[in-house]
Amino acid sequence: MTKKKMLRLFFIFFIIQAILSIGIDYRLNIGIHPESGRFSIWNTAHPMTIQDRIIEEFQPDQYVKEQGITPKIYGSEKLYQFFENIFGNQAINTFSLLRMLLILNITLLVLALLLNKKLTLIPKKGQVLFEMIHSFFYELTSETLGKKFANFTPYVLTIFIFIWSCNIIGVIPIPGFMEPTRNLNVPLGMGLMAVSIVHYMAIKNKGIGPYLKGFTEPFFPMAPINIVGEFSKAISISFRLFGNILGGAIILIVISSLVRFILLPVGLSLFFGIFIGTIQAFVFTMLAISYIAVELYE
Amino acid sequence: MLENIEIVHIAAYLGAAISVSLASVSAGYGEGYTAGLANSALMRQPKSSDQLSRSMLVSQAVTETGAIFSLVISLLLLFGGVDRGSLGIVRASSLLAAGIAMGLGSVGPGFGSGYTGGYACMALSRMPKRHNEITGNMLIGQALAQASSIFALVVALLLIYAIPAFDNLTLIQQIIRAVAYLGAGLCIGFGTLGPGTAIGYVAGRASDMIGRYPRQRTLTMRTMFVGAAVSESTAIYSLVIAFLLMYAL
Repeated sequence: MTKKKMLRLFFIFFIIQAILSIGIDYRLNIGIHPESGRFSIWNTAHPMTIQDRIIEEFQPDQYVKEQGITPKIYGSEKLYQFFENIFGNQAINTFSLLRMLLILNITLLVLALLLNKKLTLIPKKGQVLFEMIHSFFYELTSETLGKKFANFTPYVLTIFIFIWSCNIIGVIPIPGFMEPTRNLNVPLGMGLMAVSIVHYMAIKNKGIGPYLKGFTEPFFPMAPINIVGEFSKAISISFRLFGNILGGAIILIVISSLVRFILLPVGLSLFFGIFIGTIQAFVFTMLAISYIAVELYE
Repeated sequence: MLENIEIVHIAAYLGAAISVSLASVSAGYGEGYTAGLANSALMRQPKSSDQLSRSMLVSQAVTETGAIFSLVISLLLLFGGVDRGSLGIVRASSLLAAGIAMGLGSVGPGFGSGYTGGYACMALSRMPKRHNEITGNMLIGQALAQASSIFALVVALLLIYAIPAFDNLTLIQQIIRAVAYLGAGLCIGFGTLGPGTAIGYVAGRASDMIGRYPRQRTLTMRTMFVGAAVSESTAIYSLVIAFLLMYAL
Protein backbone atom coordinates (compact mmCIF):
# COMPACT_ATOMS: atom_id res chain seq x y z
CA MET A 1 0.00 0.00 0.00
CA THR A 2 1.40 3.36 -0.96
CA LYS A 3 1.65 6.38 1.29
CA LYS A 4 -1.12 8.21 -0.56
CA LYS A 5 -3.56 5.34 -0.16
CA MET A 6 -2.78 5.08 3.54
CA LEU A 7 -3.37 8.79 4.00
CA ARG A 8 -6.67 8.64 2.11
CA LEU A 9 -7.82 5.71 4.24
CA PHE A 10 -6.96 7.56 7.40
CA PHE A 11 -8.78 10.63 6.12
CA ILE A 12 -11.95 8.67 5.31
CA PHE A 13 -11.77 6.96 8.69
CA PHE A 14 -11.34 10.34 10.36
CA ILE A 15 -14.43 11.75 8.62
CA ILE A 16 -16.51 8.73 9.65
CA GLN A 17 -15.19 9.26 13.14
CA ALA A 18 -16.15 12.93 13.15
CA ILE A 19 -19.67 12.17 11.90
CA LEU A 20 -20.15 9.45 14.48
CA SER A 21 -18.90 11.59 17.32
CA ILE A 22 -21.78 14.01 16.81
CA GLY A 23 -23.96 11.55 18.69
CA ILE A 24 -22.65 12.09 22.19
CA ASP A 25 -21.51 9.21 24.36
CA TYR A 26 -20.91 6.68 21.60
CA ARG A 27 -17.63 4.92 21.00
CA LEU A 28 -16.42 3.57 17.69
CA ASN A 29 -15.03 0.04 17.60
CA ILE A 30 -13.13 -1.64 14.80
CA GLY A 31 -12.28 -5.34 14.69
CA ILE A 32 -14.08 -8.67 14.97
CA HIS A 33 -17.71 -8.11 15.90
CA PRO A 34 -18.58 -10.20 18.96
CA GLU A 35 -22.02 -11.28 17.63
CA SER A 36 -21.65 -11.76 13.89
CA GLY A 37 -17.99 -12.81 14.04
CA ARG A 38 -17.03 -10.69 11.02
CA PHE A 39 -14.52 -7.89 10.65
CA SER A 40 -16.53 -4.67 10.86
CA ILE A 41 -16.91 -1.18 12.30
CA TRP A 42 -19.65 -0.54 14.86
CA ASN A 43 -20.32 1.76 17.76
CA THR A 44 -21.33 1.13 21.34
CA ALA A 45 -22.56 3.34 24.13
CA HIS A 46 -19.64 4.78 26.07
CA PRO A 47 -19.64 3.75 29.72
CA MET A 48 -17.93 6.86 31.12
CA THR A 49 -18.40 10.62 30.74
CA ILE A 50 -15.43 12.98 30.47
CA GLN A 51 -15.98 14.09 34.07
CA ASP A 52 -15.74 10.51 35.30
CA ARG A 53 -12.61 9.89 33.27
CA ILE A 54 -10.84 12.97 34.61
CA ILE A 55 -11.73 12.03 38.17
CA GLU A 56 -10.63 8.43 37.58
CA GLU A 57 -7.29 9.60 36.19
CA PHE A 58 -6.43 12.34 38.65
CA GLN A 59 -8.32 11.48 41.85
CA PRO A 60 -8.53 7.67 41.66
CA ASP A 61 -9.19 7.27 45.36
CA GLN A 62 -12.26 9.49 45.20
CA TYR A 63 -13.46 7.64 42.09
CA VAL A 64 -13.10 4.24 43.74
CA LYS A 65 -14.97 5.48 46.79
CA GLU A 66 -17.81 6.99 44.74
CA GLN A 67 -18.29 3.96 42.49
CA GLY A 68 -17.81 1.42 45.25
CA ILE A 69 -15.27 -0.71 43.35
CA THR A 70 -12.37 -2.61 44.84
CA PRO A 71 -9.19 -1.48 43.07
CA LYS A 72 -7.58 -4.20 40.98
CA ILE A 73 -4.08 -2.80 40.58
CA TYR A 74 -2.81 -4.24 43.84
CA GLY A 75 -3.47 -7.87 42.99
CA SER A 76 -4.85 -8.74 46.41
CA GLU A 77 -7.06 -7.20 49.08
CA LYS A 78 -4.34 -7.52 51.73
CA LEU A 79 -1.90 -5.32 49.84
CA TYR A 80 -4.57 -2.65 49.41
CA GLN A 81 -5.32 -2.72 53.13
CA PHE A 82 -1.60 -2.41 53.85
CA PHE A 83 -1.27 0.68 51.68
CA GLU A 84 -4.49 2.21 52.94
CA ASN A 85 -3.25 1.92 56.51
CA ILE A 86 -0.12 3.90 55.59
CA PHE A 87 -1.32 6.50 53.10
CA GLY A 88 -5.01 6.77 54.02
CA ASN A 89 -6.97 8.83 51.52
CA GLN A 90 -4.27 8.86 48.84
CA ALA A 91 -3.49 5.12 48.71
CA ILE A 92 -3.91 4.47 44.97
CA ASN A 93 -2.31 7.75 43.95
CA THR A 94 0.76 7.14 46.09
CA PHE A 95 1.03 3.52 45.05
CA SER A 96 1.03 4.30 41.32
CA LEU A 97 3.51 7.15 41.84
CA LEU A 98 5.89 4.91 43.78
CA ARG A 99 5.57 2.17 41.17
CA MET A 100 6.43 4.58 38.36
CA LEU A 101 9.40 5.99 40.27
CA LEU A 102 10.67 2.46 40.93
CA ILE A 103 10.39 1.52 37.25
CA LEU A 104 12.21 4.71 36.22
CA ASN A 105 14.99 4.39 38.75
CA ILE A 106 15.65 0.74 37.94
CA THR A 107 15.74 1.54 34.21
CA LEU A 108 18.19 4.39 34.73
CA LEU A 109 20.36 2.29 37.06
CA VAL A 110 20.52 -0.63 34.62
CA LEU A 111 21.33 1.74 31.78
CA ALA A 112 24.12 3.35 33.79
CA LEU A 113 25.60 -0.03 34.81
CA LEU A 114 25.48 -1.36 31.24
CA LEU A 115 27.16 1.77 29.88
CA ASN A 116 29.79 1.78 32.61
CA LYS A 117 30.77 -1.80 31.87
CA LYS A 118 31.63 -1.21 28.23
CA LEU A 119 33.59 2.04 28.47
CA THR A 120 36.32 2.19 25.83
CA LEU A 121 38.84 4.79 24.80
CA ILE A 122 37.48 4.78 21.26
CA PRO A 123 33.77 5.22 22.00
CA LYS A 124 30.99 3.21 20.42
CA LYS A 125 27.49 4.39 19.55
CA GLY A 126 25.86 4.54 23.01
CA GLN A 127 28.94 5.95 24.65
CA VAL A 128 29.20 8.73 22.03
CA LEU A 129 25.61 9.77 22.66
CA PHE A 130 26.06 10.01 26.42
CA GLU A 131 29.44 11.71 26.09
CA MET A 132 27.82 14.33 23.87
CA ILE A 133 25.10 14.95 26.44
CA HIS A 134 27.69 15.15 29.20
CA SER A 135 29.93 17.56 27.35
CA PHE A 136 26.96 19.78 26.46
CA PHE A 137 26.04 20.09 30.15
CA TYR A 138 29.69 20.45 31.16
CA GLU A 139 30.01 23.44 28.84
CA LEU A 140 26.71 24.89 30.07
CA THR A 141 27.75 24.58 33.71
CA SER A 142 31.28 25.87 33.28
CA GLU A 143 30.04 28.82 31.23
CA THR A 144 27.40 29.82 33.76
CA LEU A 145 29.16 29.03 37.03
CA GLY A 146 32.76 29.44 35.91
CA LYS A 147 35.47 26.78 35.48
CA LYS A 148 35.99 26.71 39.26
CA PHE A 149 32.52 25.31 39.90
CA ALA A 150 32.35 22.87 36.98
CA ASN A 151 32.05 20.09 39.55
CA PHE A 152 28.32 20.90 39.61
CA THR A 153 27.97 19.00 36.30
CA PRO A 154 26.90 15.63 37.82
CA TYR A 155 24.07 17.29 39.78
CA VAL A 156 22.90 19.28 36.76
CA LEU A 157 23.06 16.26 34.45
CA THR A 158 21.21 14.11 37.00
CA ILE A 159 18.28 16.49 37.45
CA PHE A 160 18.01 16.93 33.68
CA ILE A 161 18.02 13.21 32.89
CA PHE A 162 15.66 12.38 35.76
CA ILE A 163 13.08 15.08 34.90
CA TRP A 164 13.35 14.42 31.18
CA SER A 165 12.74 10.70 31.56
CA CYS A 166 9.91 11.46 33.99
CA ASN A 167 8.28 13.71 31.38
CA ILE A 168 8.56 11.42 28.37
CA ILE A 169 7.61 8.16 30.06
CA GLY A 170 3.92 9.03 29.60
CA VAL A 171 4.33 8.61 25.84
CA ILE A 172 4.71 4.82 26.21
CA PRO A 173 1.17 3.48 25.72
CA ILE A 174 0.86 1.08 28.62
CA PRO A 175 -2.17 1.42 30.94
CA GLY A 176 -1.13 2.87 34.27
CA PHE A 177 2.00 4.55 32.92
CA MET A 178 1.83 8.11 34.23
CA GLU A 179 4.42 10.86 34.38
CA PRO A 180 5.73 11.04 37.97
CA THR A 181 6.08 14.83 37.51
CA ARG A 182 2.29 15.00 37.20
CA ASN A 183 2.15 14.47 40.97
CA LEU A 184 3.03 17.72 42.72
CA ASN A 185 5.26 16.01 45.29
CA VAL A 186 7.97 15.11 42.77
CA PRO A 187 8.56 18.61 41.26
CA LEU A 188 8.19 20.22 44.68
CA GLY A 189 10.86 17.90 46.07
CA MET A 190 13.21 18.72 43.18
CA GLY A 191 12.53 22.44 43.60
CA LEU A 192 13.15 22.42 47.36
CA MET A 193 16.37 20.48 46.77
CA ALA A 194 17.56 23.06 44.22
CA VAL A 195 16.70 25.99 46.50
CA SER A 196 18.44 24.41 49.49
CA ILE A 197 21.58 23.88 47.39
CA VAL A 198 21.36 27.56 46.40
CA HIS A 199 21.24 28.64 50.05
CA TYR A 200 23.99 26.24 51.08
CA MET A 201 26.24 27.67 48.37
CA ALA A 202 25.34 31.21 49.46
CA ILE A 203 26.30 30.52 53.09
CA LYS A 204 29.49 28.71 52.05
CA ASN A 205 30.50 31.46 49.67
CA LYS A 206 29.61 34.59 51.66
CA GLY A 207 29.69 33.47 55.30
CA ILE A 208 26.70 33.40 57.61
CA GLY A 209 26.72 37.08 58.60
CA PRO A 210 26.57 38.66 55.13
CA TYR A 211 24.10 35.94 54.10
CA LEU A 212 21.64 36.94 56.83
CA LYS A 213 22.29 40.61 56.13
CA GLY A 214 21.30 40.04 52.50
CA PHE A 215 17.72 39.46 53.60
CA THR A 216 17.41 42.99 55.05
CA GLU A 217 18.26 44.75 51.81
CA PRO A 218 17.48 47.47 50.74
CA PHE A 219 16.23 48.28 54.26
CA PHE A 220 15.19 46.27 57.30
CA PRO A 221 11.34 46.19 57.02
CA MET A 222 11.67 44.43 53.64
CA ALA A 223 12.86 41.22 55.35
CA PRO A 224 9.47 39.36 55.31
CA ILE A 225 8.98 40.16 51.62
CA ASN A 226 12.49 38.88 50.83
CA ILE A 227 11.81 35.62 52.69
CA VAL A 228 8.50 35.14 50.83
CA GLY A 229 10.43 35.83 47.64
CA GLU A 230 12.85 32.99 48.43
CA PHE A 231 9.92 30.60 48.92
CA SER A 232 8.37 31.82 45.69
CA LYS A 233 11.53 30.66 43.89
CA ALA A 234 10.82 27.06 44.93
CA ILE A 235 7.11 27.44 44.16
CA SER A 236 7.59 28.93 40.71
CA ILE A 237 10.30 26.48 39.62
CA SER A 238 8.26 23.43 40.64
CA PHE A 239 4.76 24.58 39.68
CA ARG A 240 5.98 25.45 36.18
CA LEU A 241 6.97 21.82 35.57
CA PHE A 242 3.89 20.45 37.36
CA GLY A 243 1.45 22.74 35.52
CA ASN A 244 2.85 21.97 32.10
CA ILE A 245 2.82 18.19 32.52
CA LEU A 246 -0.58 18.09 34.25
CA GLY A 247 -1.96 20.42 31.58
CA GLY A 248 -0.75 18.13 28.83
CA ALA A 249 -2.35 15.11 30.51
CA ILE A 250 -5.73 16.84 31.02
CA ILE A 251 -5.83 18.21 27.47
CA LEU A 252 -4.99 14.73 26.15
CA ILE A 253 -7.84 13.10 28.08
CA VAL A 254 -10.45 15.69 27.07
CA ILE A 255 -9.43 15.79 23.40
CA SER A 256 -9.18 12.02 23.08
CA SER A 257 -12.67 11.73 24.54
CA LEU A 258 -13.96 14.26 22.02
CA VAL A 259 -12.42 12.50 18.98
CA ARG A 260 -13.04 8.99 20.36
CA PHE A 261 -9.36 8.07 20.81
CA ILE A 262 -8.42 8.18 17.15
CA LEU A 263 -5.41 9.66 15.33
CA LEU A 264 -5.26 13.10 16.93
CA PRO A 265 -4.23 11.98 20.45
CA VAL A 266 -1.09 10.31 19.10
CA GLY A 267 0.31 13.55 17.73
CA LEU A 268 -0.79 15.50 20.79
CA SER A 269 0.83 12.95 23.07
CA LEU A 270 4.10 13.24 21.15
CA PHE A 271 3.90 17.07 21.28
CA PHE A 272 3.22 17.28 24.99
CA GLY A 273 5.44 14.37 25.96
CA ILE A 274 8.54 14.94 23.88
CA PHE A 275 8.56 18.62 22.86
CA ILE A 276 7.08 20.30 25.95
CA GLY A 277 8.64 17.67 28.23
CA THR A 278 12.16 18.32 26.90
CA ILE A 279 11.77 22.12 26.98
CA GLN A 280 10.45 22.11 30.54
CA ALA A 281 13.20 19.77 31.77
CA PHE A 282 15.78 22.09 30.21
CA VAL A 283 14.12 25.19 31.68
CA PHE A 284 14.14 23.62 35.16
CA THR A 285 17.84 22.78 34.82
CA MET A 286 18.77 26.23 33.51
CA LEU A 287 16.85 27.95 36.31
CA ALA A 288 18.51 25.78 38.96
CA ILE A 289 21.99 26.61 37.57
CA SER A 290 21.31 30.31 37.27
CA TYR A 291 19.85 30.58 40.80
CA ILE A 292 23.16 29.11 42.01
CA ALA A 293 25.14 31.47 39.75
CA VAL A 294 23.37 34.55 41.15
CA GLU A 295 24.30 33.54 44.70
CA LEU A 296 27.91 32.81 43.75
CA TYR A 297 28.68 36.09 41.99
CA GLU A 298 26.55 38.65 43.82
CA MET B 1 -35.25 31.42 41.88
CA LEU B 2 -32.17 29.56 40.76
CA GLU B 3 -31.12 26.46 42.59
CA ASN B 4 -27.70 26.33 44.25
CA ILE B 5 -26.31 23.84 41.75
CA GLU B 6 -27.40 25.95 38.78
CA ILE B 7 -25.58 29.01 40.11
CA VAL B 8 -22.43 26.90 40.42
CA HIS B 9 -22.77 25.71 36.82
CA ILE B 10 -23.34 29.23 35.49
CA ALA B 11 -20.28 30.50 37.33
CA ALA B 12 -18.11 27.62 36.12
CA TYR B 13 -19.04 28.15 32.45
CA LEU B 14 -18.57 31.91 32.70
CA GLY B 15 -15.20 31.42 34.40
CA ALA B 16 -14.06 28.97 31.70
CA ALA B 17 -14.95 31.44 28.94
CA ILE B 18 -13.23 34.38 30.69
CA SER B 19 -10.10 32.36 31.41
CA VAL B 20 -9.41 31.08 27.93
CA SER B 21 -10.47 34.22 26.05
CA LEU B 22 -8.37 36.67 28.07
CA ALA B 23 -5.33 34.39 27.83
CA SER B 24 -5.57 34.09 24.06
CA VAL B 25 -5.30 37.88 23.63
CA SER B 26 -1.78 38.19 24.90
CA ALA B 27 -0.50 34.77 23.76
CA GLY B 28 -1.56 35.57 20.20
CA TYR B 29 -0.02 39.03 20.31
CA GLY B 30 3.22 37.77 21.83
CA GLU B 31 3.68 34.98 19.32
CA GLY B 32 2.97 37.33 16.46
CA TYR B 33 5.51 39.84 17.80
CA THR B 34 8.15 37.10 18.00
CA ALA B 35 7.39 35.95 14.46
CA GLY B 36 7.55 39.52 13.12
CA LEU B 37 10.93 40.28 14.66
CA ALA B 38 12.18 36.85 13.57
CA ASN B 39 11.27 37.81 10.01
CA SER B 40 13.24 41.02 10.09
CA ALA B 41 16.12 39.14 11.76
CA LEU B 42 16.01 36.61 8.92
CA MET B 43 16.48 39.36 6.35
CA ARG B 44 19.49 40.66 8.25
CA GLN B 45 21.16 37.23 8.42
CA PRO B 46 19.61 34.85 5.82
CA LYS B 47 22.35 32.23 6.26
CA SER B 48 21.35 31.32 9.82
CA SER B 49 17.72 30.70 8.90
CA ASP B 50 17.69 27.22 10.47
CA GLN B 51 18.76 28.47 13.85
CA LEU B 52 16.43 31.46 13.68
CA SER B 53 13.32 29.48 12.86
CA ARG B 54 14.17 26.87 15.50
CA SER B 55 14.61 29.45 18.20
CA MET B 56 11.43 31.24 17.05
CA LEU B 57 9.43 28.01 17.37
CA VAL B 58 10.85 27.24 20.83
CA SER B 59 10.12 30.73 22.07
CA GLN B 60 6.57 30.58 20.72
CA ALA B 61 6.00 27.24 22.45
CA VAL B 62 7.20 28.73 25.73
CA THR B 63 5.06 31.84 25.21
CA GLU B 64 2.05 29.58 24.93
CA THR B 65 2.57 28.24 28.46
CA GLY B 66 0.24 30.82 30.02
CA ALA B 67 -2.46 30.07 27.46
CA ILE B 68 -2.07 26.33 28.12
CA PHE B 69 -2.50 26.95 31.85
CA SER B 70 -5.72 28.87 31.14
CA LEU B 71 -6.95 26.12 28.83
CA VAL B 72 -6.35 23.62 31.63
CA ILE B 73 -8.24 25.73 34.16
CA SER B 74 -11.15 26.19 31.78
CA LEU B 75 -11.27 22.47 30.93
CA LEU B 76 -11.24 21.71 34.66
CA LEU B 77 -14.08 24.17 35.15
CA LEU B 78 -16.06 22.58 32.31
CA PHE B 79 -15.43 18.89 32.91
CA GLY B 80 -13.50 18.50 36.13
CA GLY B 81 -16.37 17.52 38.41
CA VAL B 82 -16.24 20.83 40.23
CA ASP B 83 -19.89 20.76 41.24
CA ARG B 84 -19.47 17.81 43.57
CA GLY B 85 -20.01 18.96 47.15
CA SER B 86 -21.41 22.35 46.17
CA LEU B 87 -21.67 25.26 48.59
CA GLY B 88 -24.06 27.52 46.68
CA ILE B 89 -23.10 31.13 46.13
CA VAL B 90 -19.70 30.80 47.86
CA ARG B 91 -18.69 27.92 45.58
CA ALA B 92 -19.99 29.78 42.53
CA SER B 93 -17.94 32.86 43.28
CA SER B 94 -14.81 30.80 43.91
CA LEU B 95 -15.13 29.11 40.51
CA LEU B 96 -15.71 32.42 38.74
CA ALA B 97 -12.74 33.89 40.60
CA ALA B 98 -10.54 30.98 39.48
CA GLY B 99 -11.41 31.72 35.84
CA ILE B 100 -10.78 35.45 36.25
CA ALA B 101 -7.48 34.88 38.09
CA MET B 102 -6.05 32.56 35.45
CA GLY B 103 -7.33 34.62 32.52
CA LEU B 104 -5.99 37.95 33.76
CA GLY B 105 -2.88 36.31 35.19
CA SER B 106 -1.69 35.00 31.84
CA VAL B 107 -2.11 38.31 29.99
CA GLY B 108 1.08 39.98 31.20
CA PRO B 109 3.44 36.99 30.76
CA GLY B 110 2.17 36.50 27.20
CA PHE B 111 3.16 40.03 26.17
CA GLY B 112 6.44 39.77 28.08
CA SER B 113 7.50 36.40 26.70
CA GLY B 114 6.70 37.50 23.17
CA TYR B 115 8.87 40.60 23.58
CA THR B 116 11.73 38.48 24.94
CA GLY B 117 11.48 35.99 22.09
CA GLY B 118 11.46 38.74 19.46
CA TYR B 119 14.54 40.49 20.81
CA ALA B 120 16.34 37.18 21.25
CA CYS B 121 15.77 36.54 17.53
CA MET B 122 17.21 39.98 16.71
CA ALA B 123 20.24 39.23 18.89
CA LEU B 124 20.68 35.88 17.13
CA SER B 125 20.79 37.58 13.76
CA ARG B 126 23.46 39.96 15.06
CA MET B 127 25.66 37.25 16.66
CA PRO B 128 24.75 33.82 15.20
CA LYS B 129 27.78 32.08 16.71
CA ARG B 130 26.58 32.77 20.25
CA HIS B 131 23.24 31.03 19.72
CA ASN B 132 23.59 28.76 22.77
CA GLU B 133 24.00 31.63 25.20
CA ILE B 134 21.29 33.77 23.63
CA THR B 135 18.75 30.95 23.52
CA GLY B 136 19.57 29.97 27.11
CA ASN B 137 19.15 33.54 28.28
CA MET B 138 15.88 33.80 26.36
CA LEU B 139 14.50 30.65 28.03
CA ILE B 140 15.51 31.88 31.49
CA GLY B 141 13.96 35.29 30.85
CA GLN B 142 10.70 33.81 29.61
CA ALA B 143 10.60 31.45 32.58
CA LEU B 144 11.10 34.41 34.93
CA ALA B 145 8.32 36.32 33.16
CA GLN B 146 5.98 33.38 33.53
CA ALA B 147 6.50 33.07 37.27
CA SER B 148 3.59 35.46 37.75
CA SER B 149 1.25 33.34 35.64
CA ILE B 150 2.28 30.39 37.81
CA PHE B 151 1.21 32.33 40.91
CA ALA B 152 -2.15 32.81 39.19
CA LEU B 153 -2.29 29.06 38.43
CA VAL B 154 -1.63 28.23 42.08
CA VAL B 155 -4.38 30.60 43.26
CA ALA B 156 -6.82 29.26 40.66
CA LEU B 157 -6.15 25.61 41.59
CA LEU B 158 -6.58 26.47 45.27
CA LEU B 159 -9.83 28.31 44.50
CA ILE B 160 -11.16 25.27 42.63
CA TYR B 161 -10.01 22.46 44.91
CA ALA B 162 -9.04 23.82 48.34
CA ILE B 163 -11.87 26.05 49.52
CA PRO B 164 -12.47 25.53 53.26
CA ALA B 165 -15.95 24.14 53.95
CA PHE B 166 -18.26 26.14 56.20
CA ASP B 167 -21.62 25.04 57.53
CA ASN B 168 -24.55 27.21 58.58
CA LEU B 169 -23.48 30.54 57.18
CA THR B 170 -26.05 33.33 57.14
CA LEU B 171 -26.74 35.07 53.83
CA ILE B 172 -24.61 38.11 54.74
CA GLN B 173 -21.67 35.91 55.73
CA GLN B 174 -22.03 33.96 52.49
CA ILE B 175 -21.95 37.20 50.47
CA ILE B 176 -18.87 38.39 52.38
CA ARG B 177 -17.00 35.14 51.64
CA ALA B 178 -18.11 35.21 48.00
CA VAL B 179 -16.81 38.76 47.54
CA ALA B 180 -13.57 37.85 49.30
CA TYR B 181 -12.94 35.00 46.84
CA LEU B 182 -13.75 37.25 43.89
CA GLY B 183 -11.36 39.80 45.36
CA ALA B 184 -8.61 37.18 45.63
CA GLY B 185 -9.04 36.28 41.95
CA LEU B 186 -9.04 39.91 40.82
CA CYS B 187 -6.08 40.71 43.08
CA ILE B 188 -3.74 38.07 41.69
CA GLY B 189 -5.04 38.67 38.15
CA PHE B 190 -4.39 42.41 38.03
CA GLY B 191 -1.31 42.14 40.25
CA THR B 192 0.51 39.97 37.72
CA LEU B 193 -0.27 42.13 34.66
CA GLY B 194 2.55 44.60 35.24
CA PRO B 195 5.32 42.28 36.50
CA GLY B 196 4.81 39.77 33.68
CA THR B 197 5.17 42.40 30.97
CA ALA B 198 7.99 44.17 32.79
CA ILE B 199 10.13 41.07 33.31
CA GLY B 200 9.63 40.24 29.65
CA TYR B 201 10.97 43.71 28.80
CA VAL B 202 13.98 43.20 31.09
CA ALA B 203 14.76 39.78 29.60
CA GLY B 204 14.30 40.98 26.02
CA ARG B 205 16.71 43.88 26.49
CA ALA B 206 19.17 41.55 28.24
CA SER B 207 19.08 39.11 25.30
CA ASP B 208 19.64 41.98 22.88
CA MET B 209 22.63 43.20 24.88
CA ILE B 210 24.12 39.70 25.04
CA GLY B 211 23.95 39.73 21.26
CA ARG B 212 25.82 43.04 21.16
CA TYR B 213 28.37 42.54 23.96
CA PRO B 214 28.75 38.75 24.43
CA ARG B 215 31.72 39.13 26.77
CA GLN B 216 29.67 41.02 29.36
CA ARG B 217 27.25 38.09 29.61
CA THR B 218 27.58 37.40 33.35
CA LEU B 219 27.13 41.09 34.20
CA THR B 220 24.05 41.33 31.99
CA MET B 221 22.50 38.19 33.42
CA ARG B 222 23.11 39.31 36.99
CA THR B 223 21.49 42.67 36.31
CA MET B 224 18.60 40.88 34.63
CA PHE B 225 18.04 38.65 37.66
CA VAL B 226 18.12 41.54 40.12
CA GLY B 227 15.80 43.66 37.98
CA ALA B 228 13.39 40.77 37.49
CA ALA B 229 13.36 39.99 41.21
CA VAL B 230 12.60 43.61 42.11
CA SER B 231 9.80 43.90 39.55
CA GLU B 232 8.41 40.58 40.67
CA SER B 233 7.98 41.80 44.24
CA THR B 234 4.66 43.50 43.42
CA ALA B 235 3.30 40.18 42.11
CA ILE B 236 4.39 38.59 45.40
CA TYR B 237 2.51 41.32 47.33
CA SER B 238 -0.67 40.42 45.45
CA LEU B 239 -0.05 36.72 46.06
CA VAL B 240 0.18 37.39 49.81
CA ILE B 241 -3.01 39.50 49.75
CA ALA B 242 -4.83 36.81 47.75
CA PHE B 243 -3.85 34.15 50.31
CA LEU B 244 -4.99 36.43 53.14
CA LEU B 245 -8.35 37.00 51.41
CA MET B 246 -8.82 33.28 50.88
CA TYR B 247 -7.75 31.84 54.22
CA ALA B 248 -7.34 34.53 56.88
CA LEU B 249 -10.78 36.15 56.89
